[in-house]
Amino acid sequence: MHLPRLNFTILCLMALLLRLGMLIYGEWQDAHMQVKYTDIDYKVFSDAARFVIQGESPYKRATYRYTPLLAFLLTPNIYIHKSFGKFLFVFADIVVGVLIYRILRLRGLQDQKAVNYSAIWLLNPVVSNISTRGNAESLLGAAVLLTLYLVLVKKIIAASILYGISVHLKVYPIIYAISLLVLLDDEDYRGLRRKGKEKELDRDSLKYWTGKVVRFVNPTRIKFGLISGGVFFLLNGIMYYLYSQEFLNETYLYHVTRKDHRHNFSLWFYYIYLTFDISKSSIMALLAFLPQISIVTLLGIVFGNDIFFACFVQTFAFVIYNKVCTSQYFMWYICLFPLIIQSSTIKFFYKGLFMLFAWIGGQALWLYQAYNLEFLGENTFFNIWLASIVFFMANVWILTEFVQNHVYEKCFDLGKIRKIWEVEEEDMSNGQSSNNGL
Amino acid sequence: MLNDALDAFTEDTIQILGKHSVRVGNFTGIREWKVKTTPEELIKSVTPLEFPAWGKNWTLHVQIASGTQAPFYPFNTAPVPGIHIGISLDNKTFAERLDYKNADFLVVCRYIEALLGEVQCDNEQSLNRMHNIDLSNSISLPGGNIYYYSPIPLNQIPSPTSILGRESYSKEHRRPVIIDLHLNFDKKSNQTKADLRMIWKYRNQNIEVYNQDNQENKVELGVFGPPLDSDSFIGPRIVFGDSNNPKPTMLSVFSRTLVDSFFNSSISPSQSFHPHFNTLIKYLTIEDKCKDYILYTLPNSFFVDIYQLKDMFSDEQIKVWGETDLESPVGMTSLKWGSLVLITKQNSGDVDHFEFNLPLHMRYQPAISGNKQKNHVFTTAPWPFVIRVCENDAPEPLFAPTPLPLSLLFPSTSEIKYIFPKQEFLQHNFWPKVVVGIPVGQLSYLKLVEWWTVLMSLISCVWVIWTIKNKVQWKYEGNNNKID
Repeated sequence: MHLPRLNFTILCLMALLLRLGMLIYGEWQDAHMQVKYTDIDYKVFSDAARFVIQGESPYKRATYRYTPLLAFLLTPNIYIHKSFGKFLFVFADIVVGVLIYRILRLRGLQDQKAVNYSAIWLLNPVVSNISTRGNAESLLGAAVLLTLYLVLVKKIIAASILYGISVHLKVYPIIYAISLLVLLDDEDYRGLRRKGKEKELDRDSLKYWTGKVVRFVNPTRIKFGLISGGVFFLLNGIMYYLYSQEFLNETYLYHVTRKDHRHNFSLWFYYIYLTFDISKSSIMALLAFLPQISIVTLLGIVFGNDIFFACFVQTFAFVIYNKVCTSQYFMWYICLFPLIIQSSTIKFFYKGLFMLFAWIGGQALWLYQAYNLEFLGENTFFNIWLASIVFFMANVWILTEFVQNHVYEKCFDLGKIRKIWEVEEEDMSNGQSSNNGL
Repeated sequence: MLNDALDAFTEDTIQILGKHSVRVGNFTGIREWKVKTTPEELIKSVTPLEFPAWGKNWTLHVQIASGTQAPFYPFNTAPVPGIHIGISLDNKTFAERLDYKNADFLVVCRYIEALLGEVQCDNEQSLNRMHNIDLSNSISLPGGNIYYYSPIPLNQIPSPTSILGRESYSKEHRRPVIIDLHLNFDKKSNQTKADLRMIWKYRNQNIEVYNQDNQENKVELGVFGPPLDSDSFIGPRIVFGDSNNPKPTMLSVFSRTLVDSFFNSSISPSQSFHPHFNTLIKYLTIEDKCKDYILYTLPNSFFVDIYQLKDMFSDEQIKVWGETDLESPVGMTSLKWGSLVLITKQNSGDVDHFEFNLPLHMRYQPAISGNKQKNHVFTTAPWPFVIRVCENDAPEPLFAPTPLPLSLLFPSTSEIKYIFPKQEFLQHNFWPKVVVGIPVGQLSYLKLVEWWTVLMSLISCVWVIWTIKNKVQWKYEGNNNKID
């Protein structure tokens, strides 16, 4: 596929204009139409910010289930302008796009391709719609990507601090701890090669694996763990001091123990609804949790050195296996998608297209049944569950395709960023073919 | 004129049977029995329990209305069918500790249990009783008031062994259409009061009234009707124990209804999680110094989103009390019984009609077992009260006390007039209600859903792990040594 040549600065300007246009339209729609443009979540954030300004707990706002930090950040919604938060999320959107471009360039991707892949995020109408409606997911996307970028440029302390903040903002980035710890090894990341000794040992020997486990604990990993953990607990400590158990309940425990009986994309939704009043066996609780945690952990361990791919597939798996799954969760992996395209052998025509249709089609099928349930009052619970199975299996297939067709490339070698695509581009200019996802 | 009017009451109509008993023959109309006593007198006849002395002012108001909630035209309207309990404690609410650990709340609960039966006053009390009133599910209203409502049918509460059950059966061997009880303790004068009123409806029946309980108390019987004019009724009155000759007496009744004004309510769609409750009122007259209101009583299957309403309406126009949780399904023990939504008609707009569309949401219902064909649970809410509240001092209404919760929301000095639904909706004297069908999950699918959910989850897990394994093996066999 050949996309028009675009300068990155112009791309960012276009993205900004697109979002500004949508913001202006959103204000008009909110003022003149019954169906509002602004997301209900944005009103939740704003109300929580208002309570904070009044010296009260943000959790006085029903369904505010985030860190108070977000409410603090959005206090300008109240004393400057109600759309301040939207501008903040739009800014975070642009930051995500910039980081995508920077990471791709650092890994050796040619400028125009990096611009094109960044455009998948920056000019994506779905992405810009979500942020201009006032959804805060891009803020977290920016925090996660900035963490990965800082790891890439070896600013470990800053990366650790930002990672601690990311996990404080929302729990799910904790899954990246596995892959990040795998990445931060002595040989590739720090460039401390243990020459020769590994090859002498039999990989099936206990000594080999024992040695690996011992060497796992290295200064970089310790630093990362301590700083990010310290920041996380410090922030939590401050919020707990301010808001006591309510902070823990609403920000973390709610999400961990959440049993959402209402219809959502998750495979588990109907089972949870039917058994809402019934005490369930611990085996079922384990079965709901074990596949998710085992796959996410395995993906992190196996692909950790190819950190961007690891984070993408971990997030993808986490979302599809979760007991609750809503559309805004998709944003968590969409922001990582442009970083892995170049390493995939999947051709857009026609496999990529088919995967996209499966992903969109699965949602459409589910949404149709959900609409009939919610607005027409038809009993489509069973159909929704069937649609959730279809969507689930489609996503599992997509995940396996990504894994199967990924060209695994470590990010680092001897302490330096591997410019993996620069080699390919040189090959291209020398007339050799390259693996190219798009 | 009075003597002429008395001629309507022949010996067949009203018969003196003795010093303390009278028969009214072939009676069609409303009978009200009223007594003023003390809570201690009321309770001691039934239970030897002694309740601790009160340290605070309190008021307890209980109303029980039957399903046939006919407006007692032209007198008044009746409460929404069911049980209404209003509690006030010293201008403070129980709200922070509305549970049985609160000693004051527990005492009130015990009183109500003695009065009604079937009231839960203990967290550990068995919940197997079908018609438990759980006062901890009450809602807070302004002015320190607590309000509880349940649509439990009148033939189940008050229980026959309870105080009110025994009182109503002792007077008449059938249930009253309205039971209205006020208990009041005034700390300043250290006095308690109890006003008990019961109302029955009759059609072509003989009534016999005896006064053999306490012959020192003044007991009066009056029979009034038909009306002389729109305000006046005339009839004979007898005081038991005095001269047994009926004396003519005129009774003035102030109409509580706005004749020629009416309203119509509907819910749409009748099957959805997000219906709208629409009310259209047609007025004939507007009065200064009066305000018009619509009061919705919503059981907890229904709820309003207070944040949505804040965006749509001003705080002056709409007020909500009670359960406003946005997420919990029906059946959660923490849920209050429901909510009240009070709409104030603004002065601007058309003078001859007012339409209000209340956006509602429906809670998920617990999944049901049994018939796979039953796809919906049908839940009902009564049509709202549509009232005009004026700043005039109003006399105590006859034959139908001000229904709860109106008496908790508006000062007792206000005059409340009612607009009724259009006559065609008041068939068989039942107060109309709206019905919404809510889709519901079916427990008959549970095993299937359980097995297939687990199967899909495990199969997919194996599939993904197999794919990862193949990927790792391929890389390893390629001596790439990139994945360890």
